[in-house]
Amino acid sequence: MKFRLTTIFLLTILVNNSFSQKKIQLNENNVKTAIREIDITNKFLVEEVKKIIKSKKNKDSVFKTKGYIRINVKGGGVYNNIPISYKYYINNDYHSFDDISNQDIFPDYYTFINGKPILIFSDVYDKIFKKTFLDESILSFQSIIEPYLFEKKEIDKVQFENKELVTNHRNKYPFRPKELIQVHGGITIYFPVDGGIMPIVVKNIY
Amino acid sequence: MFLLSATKKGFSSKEIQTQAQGAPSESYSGLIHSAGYYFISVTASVHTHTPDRSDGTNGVSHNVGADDIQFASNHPDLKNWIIGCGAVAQYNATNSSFFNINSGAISSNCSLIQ
Repeated sequence: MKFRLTTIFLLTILVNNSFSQKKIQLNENNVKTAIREIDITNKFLVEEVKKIIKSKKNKDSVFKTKGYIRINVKGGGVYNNIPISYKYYINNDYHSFDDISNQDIFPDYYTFINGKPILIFSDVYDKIFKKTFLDESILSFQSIIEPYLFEKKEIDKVQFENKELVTNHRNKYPFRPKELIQVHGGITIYFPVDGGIMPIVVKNIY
Repeated sequence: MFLLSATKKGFSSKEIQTQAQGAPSESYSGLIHSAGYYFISVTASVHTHTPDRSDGTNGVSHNVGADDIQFASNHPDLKNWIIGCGAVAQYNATNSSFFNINSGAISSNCSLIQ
């Protein structure tokens, strides 16, 4: 199911312009990390991602020019009585990354396969600590992902309760009138604990 | 705050379109108007789990799917609801299970969604 949402966020974005040159910043409870570009070394995963990119492009003309692939890495468990080390949930998505106050939206890693951004979210650690990213790393990632997102529309003035208000471009979220949000679909790859068993690819129902 | 533009009525099972098609016929508190767009503050999202029509479940008895968790994570201020078969329930970004599960006819349960 795919939602077409035309959203505008008028909340304040506080951009910290005093970027530190340090690789790691410490705050009260967290260690800030970078959104790192990596190469996926798991050949099985790479081939499955190539398949899903091809499949999505065939089914959805929008995905030919916009959107990215999202991989959520999750912990193990059991699938059909087979002990699982970990599993990869894979789907396409179009959601933007404008709300820097919500760092959960940002991936831990990214790469490119067949010209598409592949964003990797390591959900395994979400229950252990609250992830936060370096400001300069977020800005760099936003610049890299921007060509794959729907275009921003500038809003100069709005009418609210019969009054005309002027918006402040520096202090609002961009408005992306054609933005899509993907809900459901994709595949999950289960990697068995027993390395002798081939990974199991399952089409997602929900 | 999460703002949604005025909606075009009608949607398919695959896509809900919310492109502005002029002023909304009803009045909404806090409505903002700009450049032909009408922005309406929303507090909840709702979508269906249609596979439960064939898999024998109520659509909210399985673990919350990765897409649903990601949507809730992307929009932390929204309350998120699922309409299943004979049940409606909430989910969020932090629980692996659905909660506030209400069984019964959709016609009566939908009034619980807010």
